[in-house]
Amino acid sequence: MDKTKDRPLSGTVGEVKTTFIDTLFTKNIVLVQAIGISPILAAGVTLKNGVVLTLCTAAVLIPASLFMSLLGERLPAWVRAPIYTVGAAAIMLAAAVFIDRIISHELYAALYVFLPLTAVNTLVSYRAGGFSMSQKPVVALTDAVVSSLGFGLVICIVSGLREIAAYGTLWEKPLNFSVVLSEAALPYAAFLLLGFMAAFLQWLNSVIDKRRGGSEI
Amino acid sequence: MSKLTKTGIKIPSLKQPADQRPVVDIPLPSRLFVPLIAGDGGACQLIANENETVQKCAVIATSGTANGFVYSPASGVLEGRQTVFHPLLGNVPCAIIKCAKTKADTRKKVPLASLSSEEIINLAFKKGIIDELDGQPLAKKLSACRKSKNPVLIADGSDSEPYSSSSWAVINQWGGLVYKGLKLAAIAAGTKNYKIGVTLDKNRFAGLLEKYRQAINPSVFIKADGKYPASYDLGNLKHLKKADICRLGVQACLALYEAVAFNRPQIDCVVTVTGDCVSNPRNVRAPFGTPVEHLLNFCGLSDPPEYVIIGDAMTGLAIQSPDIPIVPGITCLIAMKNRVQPPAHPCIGCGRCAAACHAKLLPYEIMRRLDNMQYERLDYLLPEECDGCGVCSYVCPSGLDVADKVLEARDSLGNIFMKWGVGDEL
Amino acid sequence: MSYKKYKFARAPHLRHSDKPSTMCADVLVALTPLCIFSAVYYGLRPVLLVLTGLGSAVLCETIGCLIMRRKPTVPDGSAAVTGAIIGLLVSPISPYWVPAAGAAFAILVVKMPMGGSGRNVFNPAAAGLSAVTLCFPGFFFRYPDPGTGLPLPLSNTVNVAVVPSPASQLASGGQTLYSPITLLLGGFPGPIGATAIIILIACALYLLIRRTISPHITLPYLAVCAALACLFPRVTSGAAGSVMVELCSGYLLFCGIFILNDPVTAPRHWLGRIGYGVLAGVLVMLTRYFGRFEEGACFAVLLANAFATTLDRLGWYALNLRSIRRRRQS
Repeated sequence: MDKTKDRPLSGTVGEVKTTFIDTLFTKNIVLVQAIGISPILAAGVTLKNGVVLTLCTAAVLIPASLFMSLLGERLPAWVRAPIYTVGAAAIMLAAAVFIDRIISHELYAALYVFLPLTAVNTLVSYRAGGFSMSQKPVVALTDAVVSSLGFGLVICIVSGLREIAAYGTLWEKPLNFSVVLSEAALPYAAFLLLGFMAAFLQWLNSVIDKRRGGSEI
Repeated sequence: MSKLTKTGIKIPSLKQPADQRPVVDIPLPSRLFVPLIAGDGGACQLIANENETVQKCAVIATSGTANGFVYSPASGVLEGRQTVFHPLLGNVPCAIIKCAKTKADTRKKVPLASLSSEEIINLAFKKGIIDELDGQPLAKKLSACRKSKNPVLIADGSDSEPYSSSSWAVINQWGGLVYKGLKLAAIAAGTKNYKIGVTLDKNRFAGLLEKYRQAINPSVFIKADGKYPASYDLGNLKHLKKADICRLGVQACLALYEAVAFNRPQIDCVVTVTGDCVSNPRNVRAPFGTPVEHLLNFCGLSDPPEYVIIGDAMTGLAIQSPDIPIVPGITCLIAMKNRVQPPAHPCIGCGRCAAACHAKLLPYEIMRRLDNMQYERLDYLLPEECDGCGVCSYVCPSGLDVADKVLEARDSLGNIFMKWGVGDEL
Repeated sequence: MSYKKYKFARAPHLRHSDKPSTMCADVLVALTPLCIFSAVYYGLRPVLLVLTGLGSAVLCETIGCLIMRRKPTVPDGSAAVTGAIIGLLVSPISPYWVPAAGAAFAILVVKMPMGGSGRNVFNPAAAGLSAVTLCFPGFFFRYPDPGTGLPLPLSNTVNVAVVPSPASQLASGGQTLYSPITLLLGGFPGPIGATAIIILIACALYLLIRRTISPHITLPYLAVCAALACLFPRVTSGAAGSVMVELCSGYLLFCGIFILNDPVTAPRHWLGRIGYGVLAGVLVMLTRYFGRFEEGACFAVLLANAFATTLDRLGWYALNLRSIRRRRQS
């Protein structure tokens, strides 16, 4: 950060801003911190799956983070993890029923085990369990929202690309594309895409750092 | 084309034509720069005054101990002293002697009373005899030998590096004296096992045996394996199988004989002057303190050299100033213009360095860890076993300075850890 | 006394005459007879496929070096070898863009981002081949009959009858139709460069003598493959027949000679190399027995590459355990 331009912003607002930019962009939750990769690999195959997973993650993460931030420090250490896991699982159950009955049965079947796995995803345990506990509620809420946004951004891009490559459709509407790489639905394609995206993000970070006039290394 | 073998590699020999010419004494230079370091390594103070005439072999400096003396290599006038940066010795004070022409010195033979081993060792210290193989005082090596159980002394005349032929020239010309010196060294070390090591083709070996038929017992000679670094196989000599080998330089043995027989200190050495810029490559005998330039001019320079190397091609130091004086330990001088250095390429992982290393190390792994600054557990790769032979750099097809990296790891093992804290924390 | 008249250089002042391109040139020389042999059976098309792969690899490496702003590393020959190997392992009737895509993937995704020449972790040829095998399985493992004697047309798509290769016969079980002599002389359907067994063995001997490939990798690899083929035969003609067919089918032998011996991705110490060869042999046979395709050697090589550095270090530690323990205590 350029020292001549920024003055230390007062407490909460500064932290919120920092958290926002960091978790979404410079230290993107998936590409830089490498948290929450597994649903992208296996279930982020179509754009619909990606969006649904994002919403479910948000639905689980936001209450869990808020809860841990408000009450976490008052609970004894050994009971925190079981509480937020069980809570997340309960929310997940409601979300799964909602998707299955109300939205689409095929979608639920396509997501198979990765829907309930969102409850115990590293996102929940690191951000809700680890990060939110020692932060103010506003900051924790921002972090949860932005983590889900960051995760959603990445999973939508990856699953959108994979859907175009593997099935030739986007949001299940067929495109006129002749090149179909049917094996892009396999996890290795997601790893490769994530690797290149992470490298691209690092390059962007370094360009922005240079523009700001030097980094703080 | 060199071949890669288990205990060393074969390097094509570049000794001709220097090894076919006899050793000559070079004419004295105008000035000699004699380092004021005694035979036992101690620093010395001048005892002669400035502008005083000194004689050859006279004491010009002492260190105060019983055995610390520096002798003048030539007759002349002591002009003063100057600190010289020498690549082998660091910043060393040197006595400057302006040489004067003298008549040929007569040497009187001292009656060779049978000396005990202690007396021989003291004489070796006193006369400042330094072994040219590793720069150690000869007496120190011999007294260390006395402590080991079953030592074998080998006067190493094998000249395993590609350019130097000084040991062969010394054995060829003064073999009988080397043999006598070796026997004295054996008395000093308290052993009855001594050999003279040579690497020669059959004809030369036969010629050597014939020449010294009377003087030297032929079973004293033992052949090295012809590779670099040279190793001696004592396996077929059953009683010497588990012996500790102590290698001595042939010039040191010669100097020991001269010290005992003529009470003469070590004041000169035989240096091979060679390289593609030298018109008459040959072995010359030069007094200590002769500037390198004088030797090169004596042998004639057909082109101005780009690199001047003291020591041989595998382990030599490239010097940058022509005024560096000859000190004990220098046996080869190369003036070269065409030095092949392949452009550096990342390591391709061929593994030839590990295959060629005679200490069985992993040079590529040490180099990789130093380049990536992964210093933890670097000592597991045992870099202290490296003896700096340079074979790993020689065989590397990517032209990397592998040997340098291993030596860096070896020499700074403690410092690297101190830089990063305790190694295991990382 | 401090003026600098001469230059500074580090010892040693003599170097062996080999360069990195020497080893790659050796490999290219060894690959040429395989190409020519295939041209004898199938006409000019296999040669064009190999050249496509080679050209694509060289082009991609130049582009990659330009993007990364490095000195071009094409002269060291490793890109050419990668492209040639990919070209030699496709079917003679595959379209021209298949080896080109494989070589592009190999260089631009596997080799350049990992650090370029000399620094890649995974074998680029094996990775490129795996990628195109996975993405376009329809163009792989369909080989024409070499016995027809007609040259293949040079167009992009070819309509020629496809006959089952020995590898696919093994995969489906039962008796193999090819006699040992036919297998050795290469008169059976298979990838461009992997059918001429006699020529492969001769190339291997040439490279062994020139010390470009290491016997510590190839021989344990072949021994393990033979042992597994002997113990778990997939044909009904007995153990010897099973060994013969397994070793000569698919590109097992080619992989063991050219791909496993890639110096950058293989271990460097002899004990590590033996472990690497054994591991690769086990993995290749496992992918054959239980894998989705009839020949899974390219995937097995990638798995073995992941263990290469560890095996290297473990081998040396195992030999020097006593010295290391002594050093730790002091």
